[in-house]
Amino acid sequence: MNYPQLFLTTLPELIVVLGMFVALGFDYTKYKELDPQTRSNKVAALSTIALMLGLAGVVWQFLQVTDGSKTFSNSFNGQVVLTPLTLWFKGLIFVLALFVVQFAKTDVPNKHVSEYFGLILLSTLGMGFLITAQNLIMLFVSIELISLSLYGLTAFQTDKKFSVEAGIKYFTIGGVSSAFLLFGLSYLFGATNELSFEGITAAITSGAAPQNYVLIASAFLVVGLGFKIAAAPFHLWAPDTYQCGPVPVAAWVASGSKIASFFLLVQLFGPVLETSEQKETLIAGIVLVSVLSMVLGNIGALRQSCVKRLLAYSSIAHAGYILIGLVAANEDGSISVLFYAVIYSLATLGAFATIGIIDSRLGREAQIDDFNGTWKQNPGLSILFMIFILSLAGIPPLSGFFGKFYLFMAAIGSQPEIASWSEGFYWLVAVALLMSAVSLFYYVKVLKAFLVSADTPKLPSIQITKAEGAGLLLLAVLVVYLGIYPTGLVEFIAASLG
Amino acid sequence: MTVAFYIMAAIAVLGAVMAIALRNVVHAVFSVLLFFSALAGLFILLLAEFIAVVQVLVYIGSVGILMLFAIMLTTKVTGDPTRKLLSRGWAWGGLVSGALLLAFLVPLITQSKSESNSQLSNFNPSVKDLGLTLMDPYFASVGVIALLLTAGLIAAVVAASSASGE
Amino acid sequence: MTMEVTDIVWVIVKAAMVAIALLSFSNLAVLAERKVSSWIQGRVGPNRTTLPLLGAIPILGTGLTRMGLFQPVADGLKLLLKEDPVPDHVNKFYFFLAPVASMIPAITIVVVLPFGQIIADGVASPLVLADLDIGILFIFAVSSLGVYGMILAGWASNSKYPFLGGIRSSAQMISYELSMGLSILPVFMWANAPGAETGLNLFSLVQHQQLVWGVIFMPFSALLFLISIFAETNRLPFDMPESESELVAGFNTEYGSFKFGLFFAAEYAHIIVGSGVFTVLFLGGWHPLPVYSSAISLPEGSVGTLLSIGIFLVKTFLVVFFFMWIRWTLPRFRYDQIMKLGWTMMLPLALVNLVLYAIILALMTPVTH
Repeated sequence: MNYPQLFLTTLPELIVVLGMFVALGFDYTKYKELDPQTRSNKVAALSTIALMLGLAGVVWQFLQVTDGSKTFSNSFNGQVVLTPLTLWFKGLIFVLALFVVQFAKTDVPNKHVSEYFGLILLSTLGMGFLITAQNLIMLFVSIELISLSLYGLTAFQTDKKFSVEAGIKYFTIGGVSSAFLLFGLSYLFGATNELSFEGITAAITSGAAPQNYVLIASAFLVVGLGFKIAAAPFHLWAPDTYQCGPVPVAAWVASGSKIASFFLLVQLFGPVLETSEQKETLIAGIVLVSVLSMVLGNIGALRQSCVKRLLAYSSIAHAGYILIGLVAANEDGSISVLFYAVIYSLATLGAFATIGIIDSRLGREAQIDDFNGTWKQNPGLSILFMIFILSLAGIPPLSGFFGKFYLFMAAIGSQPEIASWSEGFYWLVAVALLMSAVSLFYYVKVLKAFLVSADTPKLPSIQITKAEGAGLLLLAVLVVYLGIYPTGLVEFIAASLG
Repeated sequence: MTVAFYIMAAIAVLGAVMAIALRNVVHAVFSVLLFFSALAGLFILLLAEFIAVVQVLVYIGSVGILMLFAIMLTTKVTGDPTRKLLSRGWAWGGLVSGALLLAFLVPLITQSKSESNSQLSNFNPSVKDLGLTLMDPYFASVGVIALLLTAGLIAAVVAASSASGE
Repeated sequence: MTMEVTDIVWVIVKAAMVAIALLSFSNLAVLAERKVSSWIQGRVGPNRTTLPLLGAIPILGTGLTRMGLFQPVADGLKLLLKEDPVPDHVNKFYFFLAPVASMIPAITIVVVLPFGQIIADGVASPLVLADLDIGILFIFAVSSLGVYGMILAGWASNSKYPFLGGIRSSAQMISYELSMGLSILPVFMWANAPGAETGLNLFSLVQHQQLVWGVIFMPFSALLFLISIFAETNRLPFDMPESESELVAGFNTEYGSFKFGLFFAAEYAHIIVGSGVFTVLFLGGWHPLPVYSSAISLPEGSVGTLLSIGIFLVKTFLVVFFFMWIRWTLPRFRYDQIMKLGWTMMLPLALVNLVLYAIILALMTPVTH
């Protein structure tokens, strides 16, 4: 084994781990006497530096790989696969983590400051590893790293009953889902006798693997990963986790872990869905999950008055939309899934961050009525929030619209020979469109409170920190930019996938 | 061998079911230990002595003792008698699970040709092979496991210390 | 693979012999404890108990009586014949299970413990009931089960002193198992350095110590391991589960008669087995000298075998004596001191020791590509 090469391959992660330990060390010794907010600022600064250096490492690797350097050609049996695509997504995860750290630092739940940021950094690393993993062992280990850090983060407010309750729910259901995942993975290994995705794909394509076992494995993997992406009927943990955990954590669960999980879904299921003999059965199953998620998510969101819970249900619905791209089972589908995962994460991170800022100033969970007339007091924040919400709703010219457009087109285009609307995926797209219309109702309800309502504003004028403002602004710019000019990213993903 | 497998499997399932169904938590822990032991037995049947011994060492020897330790420190070992052990929809859940098992899994498994994997049949790794595999090709994964344990440790520190301060 | 009936019988006889030997040794250890304690405290110790006929033999009988050798028989009889009280408030099933659960691990460990060697045609083979490749792991796994006896007894007794004893024993076991495992890692790293591939087998480990005993090459590991066995066998100064001055008799307060006797015998069986493991790991098993010398080596044949068993037993009993010596010399720790020692001293030291020996062994190993 080439240890120096492994060192270079995991250099960004090593930097971040080092930064985490430096932050923990300083927090336990030098900063011990400071007040929580100062400590939080200092630890967040250290975490930011660590993440930025890590990001620089990722960028360096990206440049090396795109230059055709052979430094990173060894993937260690698929454990750390560095391609332009994986590196781009890993970089994106690091960027999102940077945003999350900025949003998290103003409102650390309790005195465990460095543990809070430490867990955020560790979950970031897990997501990075999951994206570069093309090996079942690495896959499971990194999923567990993500999950465990997020369980800890969700239950972080140990003095608040609801936070602990949400953490326990997340933990129990997540544990069950991990069991499903592991069972599926073991069947996959048993059927193919391979651990790397490459070998598994080859075994399935060549027909060497017993198809029945591949189908059983895939079914269990759909269940296990369905929990992770909060698709119905495996979504029951999501509303509580999003509502009751710390808001930056909810944002992180909804954005970072979603990107990583969808990336994995595409990598793992893409080849299986395209080639397996049993693809019909499997696609039927995923379609069922998709429809259920869209319907339950959107209907559930209709009657929510707590904004975080509303966003939680909307994230369930979005998981349903994204699965449409997966059932297309072709390259267009994969591209659209990845693209939508990116823009959904950006918008949802922005929306959660805004709510987090409002929550922390309000001192409690924001209800929809709390936003009445916010426009008059905080026009800037309102505009940013409007951008995120409209993107989630899929209003052109924001990126959410193009994301959904690509998903639906991929689904329709996957079966070009079908003419009638009742065949193929026309009906699925019709359901999705209908549900998008339903979703408009609750998104607009939130916006109406923000913009139109004539009541006297409940919220005072909100001072946001520079870091928060810059973060929100950047996210909004990205959401708008990807709406106006989506082709750049889409072509990059297409080129890297092909 | 097959008979031994079924006996072990039955004990394992029995232990798992009892762990969920028993109202007294201490008894539930002993059921879990029964399950762990049966699992160790299954590993021995699979000729994985190392894993079996590690199973005993880690799960029965440490995890079980930790669970007992934690439970003995709690005041109520029998739980709230007014609470039902089954949730309202248990019948439906059982029905759906049973239907899925019968309609989906059983046909798939019985239809499959039971081909023995020639590569696996003479696969008899020693502890040394295991160590070399972990330290050589899978070193990256082992590193991530180290991070995983760090995350667990940090989360445990937060969960264990009271938020109001020592 | 078919097994002849005689083979099976032979296996059973061997196992029974070893088990009986262990139990007799543990009875003798009880006597030894009393004698050692009296010696340390300047007393005489048991010297009156006598048996009707044997004790009447002129010189031999009185000699044995003076040595107290009939005392274990009397103790055993007393424990067997006394009334066996089972309090009403106990959980019967676990109450009866507990003494058995504490005895079984001690007997089981002996199965994999090599206690001598047979040299035939220049090839040494172990004298052991089961020569497992993963011997040391097996020992660790089984010895970690020993604590269940105490926890069960403490919990099933349903009264507060046993309960506290049970809780203490579980916490203590967990804490010291870590440093115990970490302390012997360097030994196996040493035994598995390139050119010396022992695996986790105990016999090969003993053979590896022919050149130099483990205790000489890594005294620090030996010390940590010894302290950990003290804690794992609940011997003073670590006898928290029992600590008669605070908890009456700790986990076995509610026990009497034969069930108590079983606990009592199990404690000494654990000590003997722990000493045996220490001998195998650090004291070079049956190798007579700490460092190798060609002048002294065990001869072939049955004489050599007997000698090897003898040397092994002598070393083991010396360690057992050390156990007793410590017990009658040091006072008991306080409970929080034990936890602090385990987590803030033993564990870091064991880690440092591990890293240090990893570096030393790496430097000792010639670089190969």
